[in-house]
Amino acid sequence: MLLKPLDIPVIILATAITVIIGLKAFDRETNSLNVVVRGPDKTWIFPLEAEERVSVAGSIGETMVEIRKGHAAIVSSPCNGQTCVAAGKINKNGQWAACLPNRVFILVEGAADADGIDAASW
Amino acid sequence: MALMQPPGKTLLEKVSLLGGLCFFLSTLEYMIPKPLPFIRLGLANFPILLALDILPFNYFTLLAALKIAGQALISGTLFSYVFLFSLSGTAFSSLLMYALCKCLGKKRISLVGVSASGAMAFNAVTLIMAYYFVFGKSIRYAAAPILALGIVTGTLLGFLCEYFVKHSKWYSNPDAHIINEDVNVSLAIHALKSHAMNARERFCIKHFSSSDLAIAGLCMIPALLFNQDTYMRLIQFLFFFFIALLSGKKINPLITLSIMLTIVFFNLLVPYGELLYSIGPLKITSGALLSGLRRAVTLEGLFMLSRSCIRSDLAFPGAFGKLAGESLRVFSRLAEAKNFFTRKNWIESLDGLLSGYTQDVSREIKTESEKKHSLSGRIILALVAILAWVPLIIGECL
Repeated sequence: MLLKPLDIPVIILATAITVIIGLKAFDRETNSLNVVVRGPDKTWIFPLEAEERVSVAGSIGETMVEIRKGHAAIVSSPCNGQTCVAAGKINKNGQWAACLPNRVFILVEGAADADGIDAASW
Repeated sequence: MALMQPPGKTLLEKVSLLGGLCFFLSTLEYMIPKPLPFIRLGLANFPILLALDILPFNYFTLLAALKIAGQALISGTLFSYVFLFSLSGTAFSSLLMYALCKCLGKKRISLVGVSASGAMAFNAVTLIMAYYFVFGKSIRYAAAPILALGIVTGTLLGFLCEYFVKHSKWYSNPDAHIINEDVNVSLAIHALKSHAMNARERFCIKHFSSSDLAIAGLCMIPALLFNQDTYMRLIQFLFFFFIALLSGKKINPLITLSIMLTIVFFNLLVPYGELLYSIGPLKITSGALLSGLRRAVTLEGLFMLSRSCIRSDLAFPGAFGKLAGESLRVFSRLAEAKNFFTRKNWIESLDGLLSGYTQDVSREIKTESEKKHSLSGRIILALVAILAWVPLIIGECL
């Protein structure tokens, strides 16, 4: 007999670790959220944990979007009301902000369900 | 003879014999095409597993170091990330296997369990390195298949080792057969002679010494790594690919391309930057594409550079160099006898080679010196090194 008592447990443990890593890799909850920035002509996608500033050319000028420390926000825009800037930071799946006059839209998206609302309403 | 020699020397000879076997199995492994350069079947761990019971810790770590150095020389990866992966993976897995074997004992765990854990450890460390140097976060998608492959190959290798240990006459009394003394480092060049060289390889042997080549390679590495411009790095990769071909190294462009595409693909899995195209759920973004391309050309550029500049007759300095030289000589003898192996009697074949090594008396292989070089060779190498810096300088000026 080639095998010894601890061989099988060691192989099972290694296999279990591999399966857990495999499941985690495709697990919806652990996949990170992305920020989608849409302008009239172009779209950008960044992980929410990125550190980026994107200047988006809109219909009436440049809108500045900042992604920093796990949040995204419109930090400046040429619109009159500045409600898009006042909307502040977003970081939850499904949250969005938009500068409608300049046709710029930012959205946090990911595979995870937003706040588990769907499950609760069932 | 063996029994009259001091124990330390006998052990050193065992190390060089098993080291030679490591080199031989590394070469076999190198011939098997793989989708990623750092994926290993682990064939070269066979001697490491055999050594667990016959070598004390100091000599065991020496063997692990020999395996790392030999793999780097034979596959020409000393100057690439692949060497870092091999170094960290082998160091960690070897220590873990030794600890498991000694702490749990042979009654509780066999080489099957030890080998499976070693493969798991090697792949885990390699994946961590790949996370930092090649793929970034998207490595998580490749992690499970790589680990699973490692468990399968590690377990199979463990069975193979156990079977060999049970049936090998050499293993039952390894002290009875040892190799001769009178070691010459430069005998390593014999490894070069053991395969038919093409005209370009002969030209390189004639004009460039292995140490000059290695120095030229060292001078070119910063040119690639300090280059911040991805497109200029691409040019440098093409340049290194070209000189690897010129130096007569066998390079399969399809494998190189498939490795690079795999790296780019995994980088695309984490979108970053402007959206260029969408292919189903896969979003191709400019930042991820550039990052993937940059990592792919860096990894393969270093690989090509290393293949061009590292020759297997490069001698490491000091006592370790002597040992590596002797292992390379064992390797060349094994390589010459490779047709002797058959699937049916592989244990007898290997036993015969390990035992029969004692009778090997081809000691007089004094080489064309490792120091051989020509002035024209040095001028060529200097020009090549300067050319490698040109894309970096252009990139900085633009």
